[in-house]
Amino acid sequence: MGRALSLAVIFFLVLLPLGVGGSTLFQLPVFSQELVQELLWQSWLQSAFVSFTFTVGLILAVCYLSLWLGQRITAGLSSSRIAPLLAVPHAALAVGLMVLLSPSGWLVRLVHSLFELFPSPPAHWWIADKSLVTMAVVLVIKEVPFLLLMIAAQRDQLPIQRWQTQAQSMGYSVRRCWWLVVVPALLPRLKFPLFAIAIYTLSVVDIALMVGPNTPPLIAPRVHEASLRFSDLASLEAWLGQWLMIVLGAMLFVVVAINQTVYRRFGLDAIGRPNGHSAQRICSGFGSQLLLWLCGLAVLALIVQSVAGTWFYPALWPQQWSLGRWINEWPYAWPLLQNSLWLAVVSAAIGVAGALLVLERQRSQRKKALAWLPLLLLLIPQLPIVLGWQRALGQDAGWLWLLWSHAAFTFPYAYLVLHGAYISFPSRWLYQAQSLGHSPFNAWLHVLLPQLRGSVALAFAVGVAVSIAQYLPTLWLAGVSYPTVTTETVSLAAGGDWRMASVYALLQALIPVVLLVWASRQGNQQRWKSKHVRN
Amino acid sequence: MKTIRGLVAILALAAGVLATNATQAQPVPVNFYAWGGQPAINDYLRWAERELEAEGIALQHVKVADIAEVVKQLTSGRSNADLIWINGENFHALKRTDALLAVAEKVKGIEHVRTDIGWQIDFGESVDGLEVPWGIGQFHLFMCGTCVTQSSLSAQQLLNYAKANPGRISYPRPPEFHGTTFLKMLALDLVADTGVFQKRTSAVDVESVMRPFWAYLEQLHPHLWLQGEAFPASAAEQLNLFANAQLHNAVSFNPNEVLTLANQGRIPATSKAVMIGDAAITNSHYLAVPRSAVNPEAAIKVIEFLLSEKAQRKKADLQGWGDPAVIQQVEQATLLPAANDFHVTWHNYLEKQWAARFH
Repeated sequence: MGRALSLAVIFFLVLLPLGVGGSTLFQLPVFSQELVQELLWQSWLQSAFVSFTFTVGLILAVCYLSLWLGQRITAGLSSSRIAPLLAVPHAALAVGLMVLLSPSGWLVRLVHSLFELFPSPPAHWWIADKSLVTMAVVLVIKEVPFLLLMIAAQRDQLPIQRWQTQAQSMGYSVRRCWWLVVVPALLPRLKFPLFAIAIYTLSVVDIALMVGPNTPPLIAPRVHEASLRFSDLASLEAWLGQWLMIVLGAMLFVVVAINQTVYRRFGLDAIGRPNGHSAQRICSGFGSQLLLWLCGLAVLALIVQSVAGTWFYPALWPQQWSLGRWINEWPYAWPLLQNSLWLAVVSAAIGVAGALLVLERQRSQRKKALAWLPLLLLLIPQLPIVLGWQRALGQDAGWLWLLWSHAAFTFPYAYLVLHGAYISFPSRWLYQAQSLGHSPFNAWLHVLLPQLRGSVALAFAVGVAVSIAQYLPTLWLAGVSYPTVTTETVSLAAGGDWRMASVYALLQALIPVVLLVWASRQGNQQRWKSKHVRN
Repeated sequence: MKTIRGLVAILALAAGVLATNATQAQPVPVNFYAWGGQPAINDYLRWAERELEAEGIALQHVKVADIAEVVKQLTSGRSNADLIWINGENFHALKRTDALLAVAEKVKGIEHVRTDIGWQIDFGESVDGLEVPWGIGQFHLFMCGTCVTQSSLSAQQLLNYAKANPGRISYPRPPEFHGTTFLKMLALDLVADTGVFQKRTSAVDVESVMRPFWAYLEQLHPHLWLQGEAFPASAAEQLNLFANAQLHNAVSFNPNEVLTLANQGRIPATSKAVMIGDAAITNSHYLAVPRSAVNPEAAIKVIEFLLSEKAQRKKADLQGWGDPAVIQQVEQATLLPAANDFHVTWHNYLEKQWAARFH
């Protein structure tokens, strides 16, 4: 029964999406000597090279920054404070951050209002409107919270408390124990989450268009652009570009895989040397505070924009305020919000149920590691897959397929979030319940599930955030019948009037923020209770 | 357990929403796929939706970030579009694949369309009745009120301005169509015999004709925004940079837009429209009905409404969208002197050469 169900989940949410979507990758476009000569090989390879090195740099930065900040989650920074960061849509976050940090942003305006240094926005500024640095800042702020959550989830599987006591009894500080013992144990467990981040970074289009460099552009926006054009050359470029991205994806997998080896080899030596750890702790506390503040201010920037009338440089605040946009849009936004809500809630529920089935099967087989199969869809660039779905299913495929397309993405995320807590759940409690006469299912329902309430709630909330963020699958499979706040936000963002787009971006963030805060409170209660029981 | 119960409650609620969505009865639906980037345009279409309800038509504006997404589906996939808003390259792709219905002759009121706007040719390609003009585009720049005094700049003057104000001039990155048109405007001013641009590139000695043009761009780029190492991804993005005084110019296809955007508080009220050279490249944007449309008759009715005096007058209102009317009944305030658009082969040439030189 369990086996059949978990196989069904894998079939419907992994193999079917891949089979339906992957077919486009194998349809050869028109191919001729002439076209091949016209290809700008050098510039494409340059795009590929820049994308690859950028992604490698970024995942290493995200990985070690998160591990550094992750020391503190145990103590101070709880997952309830990270969780809302996950909910802010990434394009909205990018816009909010640009309002803060760009050459005409709040920071420059503030400096100008104090010292009158910049009568016009500086032409040279540390964060240019379009550069790899800007893109890195946006992506780091978006991805570190996700990895922190993964660290928090996987950390529960390790006997960290015991290690630390042992380490301290041998004269090592908590910090050195973290880097010498805990991190080497965590790194293999973070392999798939890191790889998912790598693929996301490699294939993200909207952020790259907004804040990335474009002479030449990174590979993903370039493939996207080619796939929306009509010449034979463009089709060939799009097809080759997709394959190039898959090759880069495979190379990134190797990088992530050898990351842990390199750390063991070289990182440990460097950390072995003692240095002032209290300063480091203060810094990492400051780091996570900075992350929260930047995110909070970016959201504030969106709120201010949504009620701004005119707001030109160098005014610190809008010259006019207006609630009109919120009031006028509400009747139009409400049906979209409803669509977003039911899609997100149902697809997240399916995703969580699927993840529970697969994890239960994994637990019964005593396979502890993260499996790659449920994560497959996160490890492949999204664009060609969705293009394949559209071709196979057509426009207006109906709500069932739409739901399916969302569940295909909520499922792997739910699996990632649930995995740590589920696998480390002590089986003996289930055996005890069964020995008291409960059926295996009852034991699971009344013993395991309530204990994992926090993780299940978090997985559900993350699933909701993932579903809400889906643009291409929603528009391409059911744009007419089921427009969502996200399809609206993206199309408005194309016009660049962020005063209006902010309204929708904030609505888009609202549902997952509420759910994530709710979910992380479930987690806290659970932690408190389990502590209580232990005492 | 509370959590689980909570989840069940939410699921039930969602199912309820789903059920109410599924049971709504509807008049004849027309799915109108159109760019959804400008609130003023979206508002105009909401007005049209309300007006058309009386005729038993449920117009639905399906907002897209780029109409090419839908054109791609029409040419190589499946689509449920009944009506689309297109021009230029997108029209060419659809015409080449024979994806459009010949609707112009069926549209009542087509005889009122202005004859002086050259709508029968769309980017050098004959329209053949496959699309109907909806509005007029004229390419020009916005500049800040204090930046320049004159209402047109020659290519040389623009270069001088960029040299005097490094990092303040830019243009959208081709193949974005505003960017490509910016290049065309410069070419019109820099090339002596502008007649060549109406011919196929294969009939012209492109290399020698365009030499001064490319030399000019090589000179211009180091003085552009970010030293010409990155370009705005779209006209909209450039507009924001312009509104925030980071750039001294933006680009536009709507001759009234400098007024409407100032009315909307999107750009400073002192902004002014400035031409490159002495004429603006002029073209139309169109409505078309795909062959695969489920309700072509209703779609044609929508076109007739959008071409009506009432709808065209409303469209030209400077408090709203402010897009110039295409019918004779609506007197036109201010159109810029017009220059013909280039033959489509030039479009491809410029895009390809630009990418090869400046990537």
